[in-house]
Amino acid sequence: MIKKSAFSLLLVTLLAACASTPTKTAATKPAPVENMTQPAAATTGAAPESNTQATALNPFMDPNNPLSKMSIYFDTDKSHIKSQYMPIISAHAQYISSHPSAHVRLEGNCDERGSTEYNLALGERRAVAVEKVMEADGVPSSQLETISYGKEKPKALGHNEAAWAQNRRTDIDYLSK
Amino acid sequence: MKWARQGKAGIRLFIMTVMVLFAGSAWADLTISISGGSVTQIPIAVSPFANQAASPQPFSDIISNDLMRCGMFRLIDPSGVSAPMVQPMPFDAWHAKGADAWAVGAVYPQPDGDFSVSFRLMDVNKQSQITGYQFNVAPSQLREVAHRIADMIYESMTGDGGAFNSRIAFVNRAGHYFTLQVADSDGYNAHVILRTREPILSPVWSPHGGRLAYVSFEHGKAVIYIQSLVTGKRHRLGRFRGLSSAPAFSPDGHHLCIVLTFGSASRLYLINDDGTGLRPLTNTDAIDTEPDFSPDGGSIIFTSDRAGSPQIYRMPSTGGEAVRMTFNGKYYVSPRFSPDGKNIACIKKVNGQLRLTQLNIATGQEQVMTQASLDESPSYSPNGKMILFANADSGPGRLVVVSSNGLARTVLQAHAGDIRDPAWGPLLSNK
Repeated sequence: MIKKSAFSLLLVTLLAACASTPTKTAATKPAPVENMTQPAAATTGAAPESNTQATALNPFMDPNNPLSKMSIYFDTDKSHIKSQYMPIISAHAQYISSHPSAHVRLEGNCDERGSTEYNLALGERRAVAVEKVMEADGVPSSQLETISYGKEKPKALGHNEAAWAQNRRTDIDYLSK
Repeated sequence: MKWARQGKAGIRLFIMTVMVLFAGSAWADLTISISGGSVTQIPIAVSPFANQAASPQPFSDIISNDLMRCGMFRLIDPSGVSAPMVQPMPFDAWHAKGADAWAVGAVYPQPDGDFSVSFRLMDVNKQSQITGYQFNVAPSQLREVAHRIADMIYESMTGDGGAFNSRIAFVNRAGHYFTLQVADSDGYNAHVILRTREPILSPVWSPHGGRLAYVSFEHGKAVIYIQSLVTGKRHRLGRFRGLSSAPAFSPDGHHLCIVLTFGSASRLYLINDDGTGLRPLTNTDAIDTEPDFSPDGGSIIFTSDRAGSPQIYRMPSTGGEAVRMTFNGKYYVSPRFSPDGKNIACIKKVNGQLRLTQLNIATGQEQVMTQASLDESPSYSPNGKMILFANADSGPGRLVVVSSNGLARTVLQAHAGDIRDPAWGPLLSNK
């Protein structure tokens, strides 16, 4: 019970902290108190100071921040990026280009239908499609790499459209932030 | 009991043929139906071998199942008729059952632990022997002997080469492990060649069956390996910046056609089997993949989406212009030449369903071979009379064999796990 409350507290802290701007400057010092606009901010005092500081760095946990979205989904047999995913890719591109130490692997995936080898190539094309948008947004190519898992590493294990839709995707995997 | 079941299977086969017939005319002009009427199946009876019940293997079942799978035979229930190895033989009784041919045999243990297996194939109408043979083998070779007998029966009755004494390779995903396995042509006797936590793809056999080339992700990305089945040793085929995949051996076994993927382009290359001498074959910015050499080595078929959707193309194996071969749908993948070079097995999307399809190269006619949704990875038997593929309609992938004449469809021995990427190897020596 105690553990659970501590965890909730931490979660609340995370949510509150994510409202701060995710810049490199913010990473070097505790988040300014005035940025913690949510009521939950009042409870942050209860969390250990180190936690408060660590969570202030992490915009990737904020469901309202596009940086929390790590997957770009595709239509069947397609590799063009749908407009709704452009803000997510751009947010990551902005983060990566402003964090020279960040290194990202773009992992292309496909659903189980069709040939193993065609899907392997299609997965790479899906990874490269995201890479190209990021590069157009100013990310140096040295901070990006692509890989295709084809249809070999499905996220959803079902054999239906709902599962397939989950598996047609490029994951944005931060090897370092 | 068993034979009653096979009788029902015969009815199911008939129904399937009729369905294919109907479906054939429904989706396109170039698609033709499988004509059940023009195909005659040879009625044959295979009696349980004498002393079979005391031997480690059910001989007559192995042989009957082989003959059933190729679609060329109609198996006659052998029960109720005696099966002596010597005259007088009950030819009238076999004739009354409708059998044109009858196989009879015996299997006896020898003092040294080996088994003596003998069989005779009899012509029921002429009341004479067609062929016969005797083997002395270790217990571990009994299944192989049964497949060799099935091949002898097949060759004697059809005049064509057999295919049952051969191996298949496939990938099995079970739990956290991927295994590359090799088994007999009926799916039995499977053993593991490679086990890893990362994906394994696209195994193919060298022309003489001594090596497998395959794709492994054990280095975090797709990399081709060639592994000897004799020594177990393997080597990585070249080192490339991008992905390397879809290996295909040339008929002489000395080089391969492979696919290298850099950026969004996947292109065909030739490479020596020691990893030297890389040379490009295609240079579009599309996906070119799944190459397969023609049996004479002169051309290569492959999948390409250079025209917008994946289709099958053919080009000279020395390079040059690629000619599109498929025009009747929006998705054709995984082309494989038949051993005589006259047909191509592939997977075609039909009304959204992925179905094994045969394409006649000369006429352009297509035969959709199944009513399934998730067929993949076809490959022909060494004699071209059967096609092995994977099907995932009921969840985990299973191995399925259809006869090229469309009359027989068999799900092979079940393996726990998700079976993928099967490949049928060459015929092993039968003499």
